[in-house]
Amino acid sequence: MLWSARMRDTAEKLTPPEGAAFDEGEPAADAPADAGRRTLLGRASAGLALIVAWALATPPLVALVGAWRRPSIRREETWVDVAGLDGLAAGRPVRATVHGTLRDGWMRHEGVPLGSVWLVRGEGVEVRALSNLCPHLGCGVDLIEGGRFLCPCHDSIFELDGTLVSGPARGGLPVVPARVEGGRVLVDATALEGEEPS
Amino acid sequence: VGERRPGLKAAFEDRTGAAGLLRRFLDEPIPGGARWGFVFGSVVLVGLLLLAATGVAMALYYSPSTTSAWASVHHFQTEVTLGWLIRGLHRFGAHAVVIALGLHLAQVLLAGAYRAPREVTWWTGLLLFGLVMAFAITGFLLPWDQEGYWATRVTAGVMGLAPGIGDGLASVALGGTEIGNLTLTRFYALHVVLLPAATLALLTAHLYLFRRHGPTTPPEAKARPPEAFWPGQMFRDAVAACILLAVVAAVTIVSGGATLHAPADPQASWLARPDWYFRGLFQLLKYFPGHLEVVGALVLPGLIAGWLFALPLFDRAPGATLRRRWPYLLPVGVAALGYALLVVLSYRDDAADPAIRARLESQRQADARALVLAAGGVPVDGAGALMARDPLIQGRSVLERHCTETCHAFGGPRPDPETAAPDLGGYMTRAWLSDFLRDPASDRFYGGTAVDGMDPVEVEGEAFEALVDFLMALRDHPGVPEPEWPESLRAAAEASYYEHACDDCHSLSPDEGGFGGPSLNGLGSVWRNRKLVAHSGRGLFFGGMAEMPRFDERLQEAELDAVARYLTSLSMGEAVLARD
Repeated sequence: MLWSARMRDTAEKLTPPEGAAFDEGEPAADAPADAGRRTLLGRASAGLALIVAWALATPPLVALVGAWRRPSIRREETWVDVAGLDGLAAGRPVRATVHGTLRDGWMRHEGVPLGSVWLVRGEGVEVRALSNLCPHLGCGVDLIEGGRFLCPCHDSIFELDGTLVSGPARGGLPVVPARVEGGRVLVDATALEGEEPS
Repeated sequence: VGERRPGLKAAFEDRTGAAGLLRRFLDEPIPGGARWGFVFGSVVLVGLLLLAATGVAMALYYSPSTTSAWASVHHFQTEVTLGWLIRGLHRFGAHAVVIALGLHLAQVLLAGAYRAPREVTWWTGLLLFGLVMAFAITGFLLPWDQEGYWATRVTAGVMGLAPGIGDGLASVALGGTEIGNLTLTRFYALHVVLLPAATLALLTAHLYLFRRHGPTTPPEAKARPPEAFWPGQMFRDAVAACILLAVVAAVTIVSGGATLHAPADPQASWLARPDWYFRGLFQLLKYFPGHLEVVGALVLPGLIAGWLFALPLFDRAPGATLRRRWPYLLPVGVAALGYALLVVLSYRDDAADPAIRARLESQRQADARALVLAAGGVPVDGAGALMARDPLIQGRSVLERHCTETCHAFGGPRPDPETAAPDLGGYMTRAWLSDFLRDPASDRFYGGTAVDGMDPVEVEGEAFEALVDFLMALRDHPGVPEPEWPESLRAAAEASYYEHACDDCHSLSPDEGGFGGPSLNGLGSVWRNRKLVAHSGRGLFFGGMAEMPRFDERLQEAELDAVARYLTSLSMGEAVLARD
C-alpha cells in the first residue's frame, strides 16, 4: 500500500499530516491482521466522530439560518389609513406616520408607528405615496426649501415626484402602494420600503 | 530544528504543532487496553457539548424578562424552524447528562478511582456534578412557566432554611425577596456565562489530571499490554456518544419535545413537580415536620456530599479490591438506593391520588390554552397578562376557587349529594339539558337543593327532541349564528313547550319569573348566566328559594363576566369567550 507506506515514512519524520497518520500509528503495526483491524476501527471512529460533530453543529446553525427563510420580524396589516384627502394639497407633500401591527418575534405590538411615507397629491384626487427611505442606504429623507427631498446622510436630492436630482442614490424614491377610498388615503404597510419607481 | 519540508501542511504544522498535539492526545496509552467501561466520561463530555450547542441556538431567541421570557420560548418552540426539537434536545440532553454522570460516578466508585493519587481528579469531578445541578436549577426557571416559577420558589425556600445565612443567601440568588426580572437575569447570566465558564475550567483540570494519572485499570486487566487511545478506545467512545445522541433524539421526537407549561402566575396555585432527578429530595421533604425540615433539605444531602468528598481521605489502605473497600462505599450505596426509592415513592404517591390527577389534568388544559392564546403573538404586557385576561382561564379559576370543591361538581367527583348543587360538567349542552329534563331532581342536578320541585319530562322520541330544540334555541350571542330550522319545526317545538305545560311554572319573560320556576328567557346565553351567577335569588330566577350566594357581592365585574363566558363556552363553543 503506497498510501500507508508514505504515511509511515511521514510518521518517522515526526511531521505527520493531520488525522490520517493515526490509521497506521507506530506502536502496534506489528501483525497485518491487527493493522487491518486498526484501520477499520480508525475509519469507523472517524465516521462516528463526524456524525457527532454534525449533530452538535446543526442546532445553532439551524437556529441562525432559520430567520433566512422565515423572517421573525414582520408587519402584519396591509392597507392602513394614514390621512384624509382633504388635508392634502397639490404640490405640498405631507409626511404621514403609518400605524399598524408589528409582529416582532414573540411580541405583537398593536397600533405602533411602523414608519412614515410622503404623501404627494396630484392635481386631482390621485395621491402618490413615496417611501421615506432613501434608496441609497436607507436613511429617512427630509423636505427642504424649494420643494425637494434631501437625504441627510449622503446628500441625495429628489424631486417631489421622487425622481433623483443628484447624489449617490441609483434611482428615485421608491413608491409605496397607495389608494384613495372614501376620502381617506390608505397605504400598504407591508411594503413601506416601496417599489422601484416605474 | 531539523530540515523543513516544503508544503502547506508541513508549514502549518511547523507553525502550530496542531497535528502533533492531536497525536499526543490520540496516542495516550491505556493500561490494560481499551474498555467499554471507560466510555462514561466521554459520554458526559459529549452530552455537555450537546447542551452547549443547543443552548447557543436557544440563546439566539431568548429574552430574560418576566414579560417576554415565556413568549420568547413559546416563539422558539412553535415558530422557529426545528425550535421544538432543539429545545427538546436541550431538556432531554440534560437528563441524559445526569444519568451519564451517575453512571460515571458509580464506575469510579466501584473501581476505586477516587483513591490516591487521584483525589483531586475526584474532587473536580464532584464539583462538576454540583455545577450540573446548578445548571438544572437555573435552567428550569428560564422559560418562566408555572413549573419553573413554583419550583424556583421551593428552591429559594430550601436555601432560606440554611441557619443564619439562609435569607441572605436566597436574596442573593433571587436578586430580592421575590422572583422577578432580576431573578431571570441572574439565572440567565449564571446559566449561560458563569456556570459554563466554571464548567470549562473544572473540566480542563479534570481532563488534565486524568491524563496525568491515567485510567484505573481493573486488576484482571493489568497483565494485558497497554493500547493507544486511537483507535480502540476512540471507537468505543464514539459508539457510546452516538448512542447517547440517538437516544436523546428518539426521546425528544417520540415525546414531541419539552413541555412548555402555562406562563408563570404568582397568584394561582400550581402543583409543581421537579424533574425526576430532584424528585428524591422533593419526596424527602415530605417526611420532615416544620422545625426539622432543614435536616431533610440540607443536612442529609450535605452529609452525603461531605462523605463523597472525604472518601479518598478515609479509604487509603493499599490494595484496591472492592472486597476491602465496601465499608466506605456502603453509606453511598444506601444513600443511592434510598434516593431511588424516594423517587419511585414520589411518582407512586402522585399516581395514586385522584385529586392530583385531576389537578394535573386541569393544569394541562391551562398549558394548552396558553399555546392557543399566544399563537398570534403576545402583547407588550406579556403572556401572564394575556392569560389573566382570558375568560376561559379566569372563569375556570374563579369556579375552582369558589364552587367546585364545595358545591358544584364538574363532571368529576361530587360533593355531599345531600347539599350538592347541580353538576356543571357540560352545562347547557344538549346532553346536559336532555339528562336534566329526564330527571331534574336527581343528585346530579337539583336534588340537593331547595329547588327540587320540577317533575321529570316524560315524553319520548321526536316530541322530546323538539322540546330540547326549543330550549336550545332560546340562547343568543352576538356573532354566533342561530340554529337554522324550518318554520314548521320551530312551530312544533314551541307547541311542545306549551303542550308539556312548561309555562305553568316558567316564564319566557325578560323581566319576571314564572310561578315557582325561573324565567327561561335567553337560557344558556352569556348575559343570562352572568345575571344568574350574580344573583340567582332575584325574582327572575329562583327568588327566595335560591341558596347560592350572591356572587355580584363576592366577585369583581371582570371575574363575573369571565365565569359567565366560561360556563357558556361549555355549550356554545369558544366564540363566546371573546370580549370586545
